[in-house]
Order: sequence, then C-alpha cells, then structure tokens
Amino acid sequence: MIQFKQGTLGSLSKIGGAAMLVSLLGATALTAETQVPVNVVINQSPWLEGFAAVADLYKEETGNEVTLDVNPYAGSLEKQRNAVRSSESEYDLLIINGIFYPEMYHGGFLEPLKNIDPEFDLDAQLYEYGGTPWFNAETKSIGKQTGDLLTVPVNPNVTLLFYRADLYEENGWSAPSSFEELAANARALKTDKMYGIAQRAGRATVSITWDFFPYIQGFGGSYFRDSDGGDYFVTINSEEGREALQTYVDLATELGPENSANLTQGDLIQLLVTGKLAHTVLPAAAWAQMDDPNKSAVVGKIGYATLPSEAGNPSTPALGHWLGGIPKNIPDANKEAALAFLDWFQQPETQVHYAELGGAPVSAAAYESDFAERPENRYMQAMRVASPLAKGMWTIPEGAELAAVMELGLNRAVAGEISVVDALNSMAADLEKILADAGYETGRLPDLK
Amino acid sequence: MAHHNSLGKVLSLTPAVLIFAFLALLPVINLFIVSFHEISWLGGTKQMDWVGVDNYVAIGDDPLFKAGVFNTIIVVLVATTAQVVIGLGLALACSSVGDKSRPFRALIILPLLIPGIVIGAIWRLMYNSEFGIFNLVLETIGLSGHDWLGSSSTALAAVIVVDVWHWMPFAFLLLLAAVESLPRDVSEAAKIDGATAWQEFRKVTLPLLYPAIFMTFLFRAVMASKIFDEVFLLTGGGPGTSTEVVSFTIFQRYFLQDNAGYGSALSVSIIFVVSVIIVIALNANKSKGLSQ
Repeated sequence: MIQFKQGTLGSLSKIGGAAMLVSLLGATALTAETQVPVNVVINQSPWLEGFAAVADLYKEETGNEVTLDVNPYAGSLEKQRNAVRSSESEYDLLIINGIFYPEMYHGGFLEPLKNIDPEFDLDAQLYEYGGTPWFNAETKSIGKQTGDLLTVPVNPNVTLLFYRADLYEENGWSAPSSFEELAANARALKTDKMYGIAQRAGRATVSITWDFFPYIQGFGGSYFRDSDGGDYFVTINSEEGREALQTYVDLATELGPENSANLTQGDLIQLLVTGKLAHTVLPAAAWAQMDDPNKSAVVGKIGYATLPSEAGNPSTPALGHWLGGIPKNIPDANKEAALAFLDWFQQPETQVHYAELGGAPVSAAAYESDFAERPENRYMQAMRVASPLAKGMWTIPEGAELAAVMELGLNRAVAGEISVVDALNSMAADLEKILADAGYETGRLPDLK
Repeated sequence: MAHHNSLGKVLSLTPAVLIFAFLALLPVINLFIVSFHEISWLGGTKQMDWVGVDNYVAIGDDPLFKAGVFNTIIVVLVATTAQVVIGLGLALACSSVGDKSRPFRALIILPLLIPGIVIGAIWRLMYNSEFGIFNLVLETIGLSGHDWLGSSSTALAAVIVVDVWHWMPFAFLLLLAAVESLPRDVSEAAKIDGATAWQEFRKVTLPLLYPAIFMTFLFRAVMASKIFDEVFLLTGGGPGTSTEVVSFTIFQRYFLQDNAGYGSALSVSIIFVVSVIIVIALNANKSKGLSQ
C-alpha cells in the first residue's frame, strides 16, 4: 500500500469521487512530499526487473520519479567509485553489492541516514544481514550496536540450490542435504541431454569465489579464521578446503558441461530453463525466470532448497546482498528524496508488492505473508530457511583484491591448469600477502602436501 | 640573419610542442608519478602514499601478468603474421584484377568498420557450443561439437581468429596502397627477361614491398599488443589464464581491484617495453636500408 506521511489522501479517500479528484489534482499533489527525482545506479541482475517495477510503483503511488542507470556488474561498481570520488555525485542512490560495501564504508563516502532524518530507522521486519547496514567509522567495524546506519538492504541475493523438482518427485527423492547426496542425485540424472550439475566457475569480478563459499563452509572450512570477528588469518588451504574444492572440481568436470570453467550466471539460467540441467546454484532472484512461460521450458518444475553441507556443519549460503546507500556529495534535497524512496521501499506493504512484482524482498513481512505460501512462490519458503543461515565472505575494503586472487585460483583449478592443492596453497600465499600489505594481523596455514 | 631565421622556426613550433606535451606527455608523466604511490580513500579523501619501486617489484610476482605477457606475445606473433600474409595475398589479387575488384575490396574491409561490441556478439554466437555455426557444421558432417571459448586448449586460438578477422582488412588496405604504387616498368622488365610469375613475385614484387610489409607488421604488432575488447567480450581472460593478455591484466588490477598505483606501474612497464621494441625495430629496418 501507499505510504503517505500526510493524512490528506486518507481523508479524501472517504469522500465519494476521490478518484476523480486524484486525476484532477494530479498524483504529486496528494503524495507525501514532492521530491526531486532520484537517480539510482544499479547493476544488471536477475532481480533487476522486480526492482524496476517497484520503482515504477513508487512513481505511480507518490508521483516522485526514480530513474535507474543500469550497468553490468563491474560497470556499476566503477560508476559508483567515480561518483563518490567526484565533487558532486551524479547518483542519489547507490545500489552497492554486499562484496564491495566495505569499500564505500571505509572510504567515508556514504551519508549516515540519521543525518538526513534523525527519525529514520530500519523497519523492524527488515532482515539485517549480519549487521552490514551499520558501520562504526572509528573502530572500522560492522554492526548495529555501535555503528551508524549507512544503508538499507534492497536485495537478499542469497544462494539457493535450484533443482528439477519434477525429476526428484519421480524418483521419490527429497532435496539433498549433503554434498554426497547431491553428487549421487546429479550422477543419476545425468543423461546425454541433461547435465547433472553445473555451477559458475568462470573468472569475473566475484563469481566462483561466491559460489564456492557454501562448499568450503559446508565442509567445515573457511576462507579466513573468523572474518566476522576481524580475524583474517588465512585458512582456505585447510584439509576441509581441499575436500571442498576437490568436490567442486569433480562435480564440474564429471557431471557438468565441457565449458564448466567458463560458465556464467546467464549460462546456468539458460541451461536450466531449456531443460538441460538438473541442478545448479543461483541467487534466489533467478527464480523469476524459471516460471516465465515465455522464457522457460521448465515452468513449475524447479525446486529450491538451501545448500547442502556435511554432517555437523550448517548449510551456509553465501551472502551477496545489495544495500542502498546515499552519497555524502549530493545536495540535501537529493539526499532527502533518496531516503524517502528507501523509506517507502522498506515498508512491509511495499516488500510484499516487491515480491509480487518479481523482486526479491528483504523483509520477513514478505516471506511470512500468504503470498509466500503459494506454490508458485516456493522459492520464498526456501529463502525463509536460507536467509538466517547466510554468511558474508568478508567485511574489509580489500575485498576486490581478495576476490581477484580467489577467482583466478579457483578457476584455474576447475579448468585443470593447476591441481587443487597448488590452487589452495598459492591462493593462501597471495591472500596473506594482500592482508599483510594492508596492515592486518594475518598468517596462513602450512601448505597442503 | 640565419640565426634569426632558425630561432623563428623554433619559436613557431613552440605552440605545437606545448600542445603535444600537454596532450601526450603529461598523462604519461602523471601515470609515471602515480606508479610510485599507493592510493587509498579515507573519510572521502584521497590518500597518496609513496611506496618507491614496490609496485614495479610486485610485477615479477604477478601470475596474471606473467600469463598475460606470454599470451600477448603469441597473439602479436600469430595474429600479426596471419593478417599480413592474408592481407598481402588479397592485396595482390585485388590489384591484379583491377577496378573489377572494387566490390570485393568493400567486402574485405567490412570487419574493420564493425564496432568491437558487435564483433563480440557475432563471434560469441558463432562459437556457442550449443547452437554456434561451427558446431552445427561439425555436427552436420558427423563430428562432435567443441566448446571453442570454454576449453583451455582452443580459447586463445579462437580469440586470435577473431582478431585476424577483425584487423586483417587494416593490413590489406595498407598493402593494397603499396602494391598499387609499385613501379610497373620493373615488373614489365622482369617479364621481358622471361621471369615466371613466382620469380617476379619473389625477386621483384616482394623486395619492393618490404618497407610496406615491415611498417604494416609493425603497426599491427603494436595494435595487437593492446588487444583487449576481444578478450573482454569473449572469454574474460579464461578459462584459467589461457586468454589472459596484458591489457586485460591492467584492466583488472587498475579498475576492478581499484589498485591505481600498481595498475599505473603495469601500464608504464608496457609503454616502456613496446616503445623499446618499436625503436629497435625501426633502427634495424633503417640499418638494412629498407625504410622509405
């Protein structure tokens, strides 16, 4: 529903002929406050259509304009960097990836939202994603307790297992809870016309690093000893890491397409919707393309589940959520307009609309709504399970450098250029060097033999 | 009087020199300065920390850069040679046909006019392992398809094919101009002396074309050393490092990882190496008396 800060429409709606009056006065006269247009920089993602639709809804409901500057992932990041480092940002709202938000936080580029409106706070039903919307500039730490509110979550982007539920039903299986089970099912479903499983392994800004994360965590390993606690001792080259990467490589080479080392998210979606793939791992938002009869040959056939893990270890989907932040270097009117949009966006009613429009909500209000219980929205039921389990990979601004090392090492292992052990050892050495050069207390496990 | 004249000439060049310095040298000097720094951001403010030659020292340990140099050398040698050989063959063929070859000339130079992004789309479709034309042809004749861009064994070759297709017309245009400007009387004299077509080509045409071939090769080699868009659009440097090239390494280090200091050091190194190679090549050419 529309969020009106003034009670004007509430009164008018009780009067007969209000609709005519609305059209006569024009929508803007009846909205909360007329705001300057909000210019948003955003990336091209599976959830973009839903976000664009909700931006249109905002204009429809409030009369205020939101324009989207849509870019490829890396292009959006570059535009955001240029915008915040210039004398005045051309963007009023930055849709920042959960991998790169520390760069924006540590750089001091974002306006604390309470500086714009002291009364503003996150809606109680909004997921907090490990406290990542808050940042303490003095202690350089993430968290609600001591940090200033800098951003509002706009997309959960939690990874889910996408699988052919129809084939599972035929075989009387339930969603796999361990990697062994996943491999066995993928092997059983592999035919000349269908790959058992495919996952991203291509090198990109952040691709295989994100997709491999649930594996290493699921095997009981980690990239760093305790990144949430600020302990960046490198542990990727652990025995658990070896087991996890070997599993990832085996699945790719034995049960996946020939070009496993070059697969992108788009390739995975294409394989899945054309019926050529039995399992994959994708961000939840990709669900919208699975049941679109214009794009998909597997309408109603895809099931969603949280990712497997080995006994004793929790399922740990990778958190790659998106956060909306307002740059410091824009006029006050633009800051207020951007915050007004975020405030409207985070409201429970809007979040349900966001889900209805094909977006990926960030509020429990949507995931616990009746809408989530419908069979066609079954991904939301998986999200309810996966969201509290999701974990971020790091909270430091050196993320881009860390990711580059892991993208290369993991990709080379899948491509067969180097062995799993060499990949893990070389990544560990390179990660330690980046962290040491940046001044962190670090170290790494002894090389695997 | 002569002194005044030469001073006047020097002074008259000053504006051009200043503009050149501003447009060409200043950015390179700035790049050079940044390459000795590490740049970070704190409180919305840029911090430039002097790190001496650390960025240059780090180049030796960069696995991407090493792979990039190796692959770039392969691209330069293979693609440039192919472009010059094919371009020369087509130039000679078109020249011998004369004006009737004009429609073919237009067709030959077409790839040169197509934007890089469109070339990426065209070839990505053609190489597609599921529905690309190459695999459709292979399957039609009973052979199994191949993932040209996704396989480490063929990805670089696939990129080189695109580069040859894209830039061969450039070599063709330069060499066609050279072929058309060859003195006819020498060829006619050779024919009168009883030279066969092959002898005429080897003993007369080729030596006369050496300077043009050399300059075409040099031009294309320098351009090929900067290869970026084909790699960016088709493979992203992968699988693994099989199509990593130096320009793509710089893009990743400088832009994606936001490491301006190190990215500048890589850029300066490449500018230096390419400049040295050009100077050596030009001097070698000059010493052989081939330049015109």
